[in-house]
Amino acid sequence: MKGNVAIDRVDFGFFPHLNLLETDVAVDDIKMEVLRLAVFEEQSAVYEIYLDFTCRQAGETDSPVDEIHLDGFAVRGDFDVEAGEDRTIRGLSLHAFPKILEKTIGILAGFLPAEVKAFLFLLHPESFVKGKEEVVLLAVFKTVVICATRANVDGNVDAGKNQLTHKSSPFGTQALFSYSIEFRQKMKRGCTGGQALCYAERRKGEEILSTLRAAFQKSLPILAGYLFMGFAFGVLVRQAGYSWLWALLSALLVYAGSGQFLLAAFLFDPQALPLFALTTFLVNSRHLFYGLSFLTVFRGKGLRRLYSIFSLTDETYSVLCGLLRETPACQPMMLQIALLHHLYWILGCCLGAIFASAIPLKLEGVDFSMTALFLVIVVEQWKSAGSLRDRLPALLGGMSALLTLLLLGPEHFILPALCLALLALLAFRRFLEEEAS
Amino acid sequence: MPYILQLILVAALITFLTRALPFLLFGRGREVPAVILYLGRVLPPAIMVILVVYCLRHIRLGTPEGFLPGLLASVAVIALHLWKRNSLLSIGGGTLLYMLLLYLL
Repeated sequence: MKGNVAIDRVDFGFFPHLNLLETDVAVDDIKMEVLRLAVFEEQSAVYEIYLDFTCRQAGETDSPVDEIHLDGFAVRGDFDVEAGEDRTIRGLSLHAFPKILEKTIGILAGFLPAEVKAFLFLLHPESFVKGKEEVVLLAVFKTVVICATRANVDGNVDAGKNQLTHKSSPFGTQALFSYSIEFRQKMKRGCTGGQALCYAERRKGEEILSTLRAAFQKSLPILAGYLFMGFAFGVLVRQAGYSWLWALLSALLVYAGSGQFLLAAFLFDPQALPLFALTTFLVNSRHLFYGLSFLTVFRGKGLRRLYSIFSLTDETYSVLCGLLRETPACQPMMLQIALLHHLYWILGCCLGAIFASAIPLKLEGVDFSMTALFLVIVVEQWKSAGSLRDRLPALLGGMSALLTLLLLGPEHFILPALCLALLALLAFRRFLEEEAS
Repeated sequence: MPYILQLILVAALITFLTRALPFLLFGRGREVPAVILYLGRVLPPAIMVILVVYCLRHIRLGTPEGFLPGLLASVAVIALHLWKRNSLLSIGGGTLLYMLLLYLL
């Protein structure tokens, strides 16, 4: 069945400033088509929006098309298209959403991710007058497909991209946007928005998967150690007479190896909350130094940034430091590594508390995998450093650690060691900075 | 409020604060002083070595079982890594050796 449907007028309902650009749509069996709609013209830039729609047939293949789905919006009406027939549709209407939505959208919009905003923009553009460029990018929403790009896509890609760079996250709208532009350029614009978007989605999917795979590989050295250490913590919680849910809660909220062991120790000492607070601070004080290396790296959106900071344990810090040298600022992978590590830890804590008495397995010494991890990182850094100067920070660290260990003993040396290393590094700053430049 | 919940909340708060303090001090929007950026660059290698010492801090030189497992396993990790440069192999091999030595000695 083939035919042409011409649409002579579209009542866009909530989108009064939309107007129809292409009116002829080929109907070819059950097939996805694209309606191109211009959105608005502003300062010589025309934004375009594409809506995918599907023609549905009621029954057998030769029966007429009785429904056109503008995806989410089912448009029923007077447009049966017989085989080989051309027909004009009058008055396609997009009034599909209740008025109440219109009100709430404007209020909620401020908190939403860009993809959702772009979708909502279609529903109620007035709410977005200020942030037009931010939201009119491109969005996938299960049913409605919007592909908004600058009209002069082929000539003006960079301008469009540059405008987006600082506003979108690496895996958000921007990736889709650039992929879909890549595709449209490849196809010399002879493609529909839907096709471009399928391509962009696939590419984005591949990208996420390959990052996740790499993140998993990077997180593997931690797996055994975290499972074991978490397990040991879980056992302690159970021995103190608490249920496994408490182990889960502390794995979720505290997420610190030595900090949690301290917590388990204080479970037996019920009157010591202030002392506990002080000791926890001292034990975890080494974390004060970790953030310094990631000040300019963690700058995603609010929640992601908070989580990246929250999850900066010794092990995650070391793995991320390794990553910092290889591929600077690969934030999605860093976040995935942090999440995987946290997952291993949570799993370990819960398993330990659940099977506290059931498993007689002796795994004494598995915790050495943490030591081994740090050693491997030191070796890596040592090998990649070319000169003695490059190796000086590690040497200073080692000397500070040994000196303070000998002077202060194994329980209280770490914070002084870090401070001493910090001072030594400051003292050698001029020398080390010369090398950098 | 159960005592364990108090402990968890206190630990969570303090741990997060220690991790977040650098970001609070030099965070978004403010210009990070050059000396802090310098420290951020040179601290990781120093901290890694300190962490190694921290992990091995309970080594005692008095008896062979006090220092042999940690020392031999560490040497094994370094040697394996210099030889094959495969993190998983070095970590796995060193850990297995350590467990074996603990069991034997």
